[in-house]
Amino acid sequence: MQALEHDLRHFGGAGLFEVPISTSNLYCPSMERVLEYSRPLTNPRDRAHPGAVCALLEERLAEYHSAAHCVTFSSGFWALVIALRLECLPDHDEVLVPSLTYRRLADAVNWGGKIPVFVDIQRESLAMCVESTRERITERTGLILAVHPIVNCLDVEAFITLSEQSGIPLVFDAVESVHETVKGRRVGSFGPAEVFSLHASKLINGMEGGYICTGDEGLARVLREVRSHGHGRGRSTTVGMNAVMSDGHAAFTLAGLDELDQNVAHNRAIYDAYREGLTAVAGIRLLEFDQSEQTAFKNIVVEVESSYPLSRDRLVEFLNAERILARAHYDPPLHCKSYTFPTIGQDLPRSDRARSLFLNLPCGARVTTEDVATLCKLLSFLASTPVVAHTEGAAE
Amino acid sequence: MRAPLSDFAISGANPAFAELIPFGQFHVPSETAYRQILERIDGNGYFTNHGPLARELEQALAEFLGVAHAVVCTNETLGLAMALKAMDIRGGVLVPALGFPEMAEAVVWAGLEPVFSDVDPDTHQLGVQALEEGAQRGIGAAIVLEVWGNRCDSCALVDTASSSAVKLIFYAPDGFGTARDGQRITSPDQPTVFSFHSSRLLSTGEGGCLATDNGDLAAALRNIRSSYGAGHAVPVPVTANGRFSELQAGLALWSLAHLDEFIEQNEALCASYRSSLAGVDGLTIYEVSTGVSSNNQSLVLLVDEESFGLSRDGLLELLRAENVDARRAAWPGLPSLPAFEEWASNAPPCPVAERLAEGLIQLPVGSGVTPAAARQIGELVAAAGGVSP
Repeated sequence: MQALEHDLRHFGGAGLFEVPISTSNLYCPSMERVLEYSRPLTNPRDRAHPGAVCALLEERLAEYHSAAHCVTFSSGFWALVIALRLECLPDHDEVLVPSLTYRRLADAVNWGGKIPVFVDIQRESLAMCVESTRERITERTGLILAVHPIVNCLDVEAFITLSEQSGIPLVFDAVESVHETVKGRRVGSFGPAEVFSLHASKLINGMEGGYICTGDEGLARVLREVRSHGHGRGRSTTVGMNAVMSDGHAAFTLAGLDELDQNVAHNRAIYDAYREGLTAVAGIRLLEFDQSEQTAFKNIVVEVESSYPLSRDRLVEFLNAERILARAHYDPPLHCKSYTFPTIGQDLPRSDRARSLFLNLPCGARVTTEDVATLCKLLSFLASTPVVAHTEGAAE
Repeated sequence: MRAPLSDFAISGANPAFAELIPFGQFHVPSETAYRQILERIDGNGYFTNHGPLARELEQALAEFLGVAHAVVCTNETLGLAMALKAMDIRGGVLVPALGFPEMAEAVVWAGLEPVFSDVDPDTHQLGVQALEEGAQRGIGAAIVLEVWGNRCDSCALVDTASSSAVKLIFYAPDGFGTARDGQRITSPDQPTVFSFHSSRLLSTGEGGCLATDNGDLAAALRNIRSSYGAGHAVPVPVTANGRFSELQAGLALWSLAHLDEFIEQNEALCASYRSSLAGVDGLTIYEVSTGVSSNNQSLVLLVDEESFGLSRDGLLELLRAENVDARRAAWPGLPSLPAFEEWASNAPPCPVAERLAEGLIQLPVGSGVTPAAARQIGELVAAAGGVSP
C-alpha cells in the first residue's frame, strides 16, 4: 500500500494512470474489417446509391435482436425524438419518463413537441418504477417512454401490461440494454419501438448513429419516411426530418457487430475483476448483473454506502483528480434541473435518495483488468486512510 | 434540330448510355485515402465528441469561408433547426415556397410555424418585397434559400430585416465554395447553413455546417450541439445531439483539399452542357447573379413547355430512358405538400414558385459524368424538344 500512496497525484506522485480511464466503451473494430465494409464508399458508382450500407446494417441488427424490423438513424437521440413524436397519442402532450436517467432525455421530449413528466425509480434496481408511472397518468398522457437502467433491465412485461390496460402507447429506450435478454427474450424483439444508440461510448460503436427495432411494420415504414424528409416523395402526411445515418458510420458499426463476442468477453472480464477486487472494499457495493439473463456486462455501477469514509461526491472528485474519470450516476436527476420549457413532476423521493449514492466506474475497451485491480486497491486504501477525507480540496 | 421520336430510347431505341449517369457530385476518396482517414482516427483514439479532426476541420472551414466561426453538425436540416433555437426565434418563420422540404421541416421541429412566401422570378430566391410582406405578417425570422450556386443580395435583405427586427438564416445547400463579391458567406452576423451531403461539392456522407462571425451565436450553437466542443457555457433554450464524427471530419478535410479539382471538373461539364444547349427554344439555363462566382455544381434549366414542345416531366422521363439520372431541381411547391397542409392554408398564392417547381430540371454534374457525356446529354435534351413520349 506504501507504493500506491507514493504514486498518487494527491501526494505529489506521477499518478496511477498515465492516460485517463473513463466509463465509455470505445470499442474499436479491426480497421481491415471496417475498410471491407466501407468499400462501396470509395467507389463513385456505388456511392451514387447512398443508404446501401445502412440497409445491410439494418438487416444484420434485426437478426441480432430477433426483431421484425430495424430502422437506422443519425443518432439515438433523434431516433428517440422521432419515435416519441410518432407514437404519442394525438392531442395528448404528456410523456412519462424516469427522472434518474440520461441527462438529455427531457430535451429529447421537448424536441418531440411534448412535455416530460418525471416518474420515480425502484429503490433497489434503480429502474423506472411501474407503480410510479401508473400514478402519474393523467388524461393528457400520450406516451410512456420506458428507459432501461444501465445495470439489468426494466420489468418489460409490467410496462407492456400497463400500456395495454391504460391504452397509452409505449416506447422503450434500450440504449443501455443492447445485448440483454428479459426472461430469455431479446431486448429489441418485444414489438413496440425500442430505441438504441451507436455512439462511441455505447456497446456497439458506430461513432455516431442509432436505430429502432419494432415488430410494427406500419411504424417501421413511417419511421423510414420521417427519417428521410417524408420520403415517399413528398406524399407523406407527417413532417419529415433528416435523421439518416451516414453509410460510413454503418460500415464502422458492421465491423464492430462482427466482433461483438470479444467486446462482451472483455467487459465480462472487467466486471469479474471488479467483483473480485471490490469484495475487499467495505462500503462500496457493486450492482450485480443478473447472470440468469444474457448481458453485455458493460457498465460498472457501485453504491457508496454510508460506512465508506468518503461521500460519493468527494470520492468522484478525488478519483477524477487521479485521472480516473468515474462519474456520478445520473446526477442531477432530471426533475432537479431547470428548463426553459415546461416539465412536470417534483416529488420523487427514491430518485432524490439515489442521486447522491451511486457511481459509475471506468470500464470498456481501454480499461484492463490490471487497471481494475489498481483502482480497487485505491478504493480500499481510501477506505482506510481518513486523512484523505479530511483534506477537502487538497487534490486541486 | 428536332429528332424523330423513334430515335429515342423511350420508344425502343438503344439508350444513349449503357449505365446510369448518376445525379450529384459523389466525389469519394480512393481506398488508400479512406484508409489514411481511418488510420488517423485510430491513431488519435477519438471517434466523435468533437475530436482532433473535427477541431481541425472547423478551423480549416472558418479560414476557407473567411469567417470567425464554422460549427459543423450532423446534417443541414438539424443545422437549420439548431440555428432557430440558438437565435431563440419566436413567431412565424418565412420559408420560400420553392426549394426543399427541410426548410419547413426544421421550422416545425423547432416548434415554430412556417409562413410560406413566393419567390423572385429571376433569382428564384426570396426578395426584399417578400420579406417586407412577411414582416407585416409578424414573422420572427426568414430562411433565405440560396439556390443552385447563386448567392443573395444580402445588403438589401439584411437592411429590410433589421429595420423590421426579423432575423435571417441563409441556407446555401449547394453553395459551398461559391462567393458573391469575393465573400463566401452571405452575411457576417447571420448564420449561413451549408450541406455536406454526398451529392454536394464538399461531402461527408451526411453532414452540415453553420458559418458566422457572430461569437454569441456560435457559442449558442456549440452549446446546443453537444457538451463536447461546447466551449464556454451559455444558456440555450434546449440542447440537441448534433454531433459530427471524426469520420465525417476526415472525409470533409479530404474533400476540402480537393475542392479546386472538383470545381474545375464541374466547370468543364457545365461548359459542355452550355455548348450543346445554347439557343434551344424553350430552355433557359439558370444563371447566377452578377458578382457571384459559382462552384458550377448545379446545371439547372427552366423548361417552357409551350415553346420547347415537351414538358419538364416529359423530358425527365425521356432522359431516364436514356439512362440519365436528371432530376427536378426543386420539390413541388412546398405549400402543396401534404405534410405542410396545416400551415399552407394561410399562405398567399405562390404562382412563381409553382410555375418554377413544375418547369425546372437539373442535369447530372459530378464525378460520374465526363465532358463528352455532358455534351451528349445536352444534345439529347436539345433534340428532345417537340417529342411527345
